[in-house]
Amino acid sequence: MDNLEFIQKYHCLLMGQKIIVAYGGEIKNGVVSNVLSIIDNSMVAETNLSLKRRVLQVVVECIQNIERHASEFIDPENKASFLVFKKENDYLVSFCNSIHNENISGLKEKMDKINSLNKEELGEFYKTSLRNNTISDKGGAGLGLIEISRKSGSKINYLFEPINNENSSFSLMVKIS
Amino acid sequence: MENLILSKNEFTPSVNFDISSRVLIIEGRCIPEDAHSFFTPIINWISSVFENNRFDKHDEFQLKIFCDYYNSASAKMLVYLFDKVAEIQKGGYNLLVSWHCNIDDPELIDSVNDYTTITDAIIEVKHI
Repeated sequence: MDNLEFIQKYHCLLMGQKIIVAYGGEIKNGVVSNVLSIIDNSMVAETNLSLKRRVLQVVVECIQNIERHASEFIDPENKASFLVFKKENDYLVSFCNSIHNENISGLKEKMDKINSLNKEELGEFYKTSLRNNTISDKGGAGLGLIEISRKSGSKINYLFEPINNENSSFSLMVKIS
Repeated sequence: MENLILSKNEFTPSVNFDISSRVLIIEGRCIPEDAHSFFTPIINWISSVFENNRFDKHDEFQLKIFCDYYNSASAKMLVYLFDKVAEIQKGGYNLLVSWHCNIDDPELIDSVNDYTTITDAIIEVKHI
């Protein structure tokens, strides 16, 4: 696809959706607070406050997850992209960042486990993890993905695409309704 | 004993632990990246209040929480906070904990109830 064709398709995609926030670049200090205020402003007309809060919570978990694992990446800028858009009455949150290939299987296993649980089982898994997990030296509690699924109320859609022998891109999408 | 006063910012709630009023208040959303660093002084402060028989066990203390939004690392640190609260309450101290929730916010009320299930702390849900 040449560049112009790509841009045309990109515009069609954007025009057909209600974009809340689109970001591509370094994930560094300040991104979370800026994004939160953009989402706050873009969703000002949203009367379902629980829905709005859950969108914010999912986005914060995703960004902080990327921040926490920043040191693992060869790319010193820790680049990532994310898109939050509204489709009918739902909000879709998607993130893409790089990951070391050796970390894929553990991450995949965790997401598959979460996706295999129904709402009640996920609630129990959350409580067990909340009780038993410890805070890692990276500052996480291993609860982020569980929270992303719980708060969104949807399965975690994910995709790994190899970049080279060492890294892959990791894409995640959830629907919040 | 010194008070513990922290201002609210975009990531962390205000903390107003005034020993003379015996009312400890945490108010605001809590989404710090480093939740451990934020909560550790709070847990240590509460712990030190009830050490060394500084107060009579009948003295009433209140811990009031006004927070409808916290990240997952803070969720874990809240377990440690409520473990400490449970220890103090079991020690016979009159520490009353209330989490102030909007009546239209069943998710938050469920989350507070989760804490009473997984820790032994007594936490009252108060509707606002």
